[in-house]
Amino acid sequence: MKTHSLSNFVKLFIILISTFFFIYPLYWMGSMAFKPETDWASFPPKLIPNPISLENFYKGLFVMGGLQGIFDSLIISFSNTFLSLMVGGLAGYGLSRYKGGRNIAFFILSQRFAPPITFTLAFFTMFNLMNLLDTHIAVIIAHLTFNIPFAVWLMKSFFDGIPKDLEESAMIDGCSLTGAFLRVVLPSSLPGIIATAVMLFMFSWNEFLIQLFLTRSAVKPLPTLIPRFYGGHDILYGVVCAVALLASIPPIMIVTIFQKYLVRGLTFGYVKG
Amino acid sequence: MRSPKSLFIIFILPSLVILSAIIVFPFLYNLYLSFQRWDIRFKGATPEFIGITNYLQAFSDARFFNSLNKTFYMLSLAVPVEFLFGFLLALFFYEPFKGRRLLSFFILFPLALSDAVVGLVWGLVLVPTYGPVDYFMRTLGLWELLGFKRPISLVTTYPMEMIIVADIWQWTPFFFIILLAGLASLPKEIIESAEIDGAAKFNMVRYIMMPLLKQIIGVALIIRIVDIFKTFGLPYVMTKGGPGFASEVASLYIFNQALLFLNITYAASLTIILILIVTVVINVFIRGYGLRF
Amino acid sequence: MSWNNKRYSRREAISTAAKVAAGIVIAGGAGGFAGYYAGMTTATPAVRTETKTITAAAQTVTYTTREVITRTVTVGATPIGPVEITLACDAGHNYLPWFDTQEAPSGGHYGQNQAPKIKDVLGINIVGEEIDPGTQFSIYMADLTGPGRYNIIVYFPTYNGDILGGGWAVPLDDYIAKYHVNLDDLPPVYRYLYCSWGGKTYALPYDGDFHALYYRKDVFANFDIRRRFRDKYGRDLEPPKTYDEYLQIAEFFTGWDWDGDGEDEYGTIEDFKDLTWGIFFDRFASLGGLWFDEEMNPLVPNEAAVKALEDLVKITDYMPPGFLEFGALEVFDSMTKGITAMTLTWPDVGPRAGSGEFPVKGDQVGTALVPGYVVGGRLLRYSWTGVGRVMIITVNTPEEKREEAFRILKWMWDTSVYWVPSGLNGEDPFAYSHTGPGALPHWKKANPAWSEEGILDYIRAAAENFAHGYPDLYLPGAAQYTDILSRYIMMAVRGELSPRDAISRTVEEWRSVTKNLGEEKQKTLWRQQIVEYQRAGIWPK
Repeated sequence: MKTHSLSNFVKLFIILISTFFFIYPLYWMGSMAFKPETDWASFPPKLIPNPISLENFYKGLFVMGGLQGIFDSLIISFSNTFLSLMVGGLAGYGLSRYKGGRNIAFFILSQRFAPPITFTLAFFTMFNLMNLLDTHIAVIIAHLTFNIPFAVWLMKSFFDGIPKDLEESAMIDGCSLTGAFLRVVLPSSLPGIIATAVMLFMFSWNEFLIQLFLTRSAVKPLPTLIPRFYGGHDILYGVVCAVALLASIPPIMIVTIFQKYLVRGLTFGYVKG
Repeated sequence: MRSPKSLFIIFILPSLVILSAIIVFPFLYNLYLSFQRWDIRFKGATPEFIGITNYLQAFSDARFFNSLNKTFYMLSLAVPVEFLFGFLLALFFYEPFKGRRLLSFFILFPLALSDAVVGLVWGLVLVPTYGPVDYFMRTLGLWELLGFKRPISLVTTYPMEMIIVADIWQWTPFFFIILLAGLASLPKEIIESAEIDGAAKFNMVRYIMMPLLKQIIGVALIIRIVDIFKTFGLPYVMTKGGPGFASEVASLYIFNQALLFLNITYAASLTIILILIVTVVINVFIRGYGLRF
Repeated sequence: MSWNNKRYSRREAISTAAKVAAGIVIAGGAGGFAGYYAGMTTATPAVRTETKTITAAAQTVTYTTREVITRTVTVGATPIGPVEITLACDAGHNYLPWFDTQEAPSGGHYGQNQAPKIKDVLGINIVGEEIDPGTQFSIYMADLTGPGRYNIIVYFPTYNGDILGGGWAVPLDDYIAKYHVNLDDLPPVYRYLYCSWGGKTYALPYDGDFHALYYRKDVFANFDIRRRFRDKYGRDLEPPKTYDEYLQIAEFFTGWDWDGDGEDEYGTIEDFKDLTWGIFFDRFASLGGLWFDEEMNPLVPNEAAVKALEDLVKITDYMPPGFLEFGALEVFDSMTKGITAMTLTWPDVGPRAGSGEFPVKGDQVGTALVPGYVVGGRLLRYSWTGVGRVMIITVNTPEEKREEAFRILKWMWDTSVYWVPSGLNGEDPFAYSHTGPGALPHWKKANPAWSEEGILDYIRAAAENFAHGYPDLYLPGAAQYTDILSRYIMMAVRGELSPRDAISRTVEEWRSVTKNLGEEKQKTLWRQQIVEYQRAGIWPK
């Protein structure tokens, strides 16, 4: 039908424009990563890197600590995501089912209101006293301040979307509450869990200020390496782009692996009736 | 009869305990500092109590109000666009189609980049003379078309707007992924029965999907609103708050006061005020939006 | 069916709770253990050491400069016992003089990597930490007021008011005398303003930054262009000596294609984005301007400040589009990519052109002393020497280690002629011996693609510029003062405010900042600085 194909056309158009909008800066970043230093500010700008050079990657990974950065960031972000998801997800479930938790819920959310600068000096003093400066665990703990509230609230809203009847039917059938939770609720909320986990990872992976203050040389997560590229008076654009590209690989891999769970009509487990 | 309440409290407890343990000290320390004056740069200087002087100073600080102004401006433009755009894309990507996985991969990519990198990349894309946008505008004669004699620098002429564009680029995928997960969690039966009943797409979205997604949308909006108040890396790298004070958002100004000017006690009071503002805004939003908890 | 009807037996509740608790403990424990274990295995500070043998025989290299200053570098001095010194320095490039894994006999990495040599020869183990320059100030202050781990820190002299004036550095005069460090090798601005406070020396330079005027030597020498210029303005085309000449030349070169590459070019470019107040200060200082007078009146004389800002606004007509956004790299490249005929900026342009990797090569770029103004019949030319780096010994260093720390400073002082010439590390010449003919072999080794004449031209002009150096503001709160000044300059340049309004608002806000920081305290510290200005001969009589 005419209207049908028109709306399809509009849809296609919007998708194309959007993809162009999203891809273009990524393309520019990618092309910068492959340009040798003399071409970073070339006039007129080179749209396609020529010659293609891997020196930025080499520099970023091996000379400027990119490799250690990836390793450190992975440890921090994975640990933090895991912790936040477990602890926060559980709380999200509790808050979702417990009717009187309004104030607690708001309190938890309010932890996220403070700008990171609030924490830098205090955390520095705190972790210094505990002799935990420049360790992974300090950063993992510090990141809980914003990730737990996020996990709690997001998981709570996903759990809210799952009718209580599901657990109740399961319990009638003889499950304990925990069993119902594990066997029925969790699988139904899988897309939510995936989305939350991905975002938790991203938030921790890309956090900058707190990591900068809590780490020195033993632990050097990726965002703290970026200042290194502001050498002397100039900024090593190409190297920053190369490292950023490499830095985005783990999070993107996670997204890619779990993308298939973000598709329509995904409901597992118990269905009422 | 034992109520199930206690069980749920046990579920909630670990989060509460952990958060209280790590947040309490920084927050109280910050609060404490906001009532002091501490010339930290001088050897042997100690904090001295000055009551609410810092707060009074903040209320007559034109630069602070300017920064709040800029932050609210960013809030009013960035959040709605990010939400609508993200929602639209989620609706489109909800149904499988050819190339869907590849395209959504690109759309989600900006999330994997840190604030500073996003700022840097957009700065590079928009810089005149050396950047691609200006290059296209020049070669296609678009500057003259828009009425400019010479190419202008977008970032210095429209700093807040460019920051907002970069922010939209970075955070639309946030709404995209969450709303996609939300749509994917919708009970199959309801959607299918609506389709069988011949509901128009638009009505389906409006009357069926959105109400079901209301809570998730609400939470995503709250998270994003709160984060905009905290936005730092992006404006810092793109414009450093300039030119002049045109793009100095609240957290940039607080950063300058705390780490550049070393007025940490004054910065502490600004932080408290900012937290209060956020609390009020979120409260208003929750009530107005009708977010249930 | 609602929850309330369901009966929970005590046992069930406890068992569920126990399972939940166990789950959390395991999850938390697993996560925590992983992190903690990882933390433990990598908690040892990274110490990069290299073993290298150096000839034990003492090597003496003597240079003579135009002021007949002799400098001796001795390698193979008596080693002292094993000592560990903690160093904090800018991350990235600027760290290379200390640690450079790519040390090379020639080229950009020539002369770097001194820390392992210090270990070999002096037996002092340097534990180095790279610090982000953007938040460096707060990180250093956090350490100085807190754990006090750093023994030597390398920082921007703009923090001198806070660090030296705050009493965080060890006075070096005795060591300087004992180890025969010849401070006459330094131009007045570095010697008195970078390194001293209130009459005492506390620091040694690590990087000298200054502004220089660069121009396209080949274009200026071109017969047709010279003729055109002469026809238009009635005088010969020479590197400008005053800012009026500078404006004129910039106007001449803007808007047409004078190098035949098919694109229109521009007159000049300066650094607006990062250190806006610097380009203002080149002009303001040359008009006889001061940061403050003895009574803490800001930007005196105000009329000179207004004129300096007006001139700055005027010159922006002749700059390439986007100049307000250009970071240092893009500014340098405007010269090396042939976009502008001149530029007034950092020392980096010379070595960049000299590297031969850009379209505009070393010999095409001439370096000159920055222009100035004629004030009271005299031509006054000052080059703003903002940024830069100095090294100090922190007061947190225990007494026994201080002399060792000084030996490290002396080593870097002595070897600076090896590592400064490299354009790669971002450190610039700061001593006359770096720019004398005796330093030439090192410049050539560090910049193999640069011709000898090119190097000589550059280093002579460099010496001239830093000899005419004018310091940055080194008072506590300098960051705040300059932040305000920069922002108002930007607003004036963009036409949002008239230069007069911009200056008057700046002055007003500066007064309130001074009040906030304690007017009497600031005055005392500023007067200590004035002592140094006077010693340097910069303070008006």
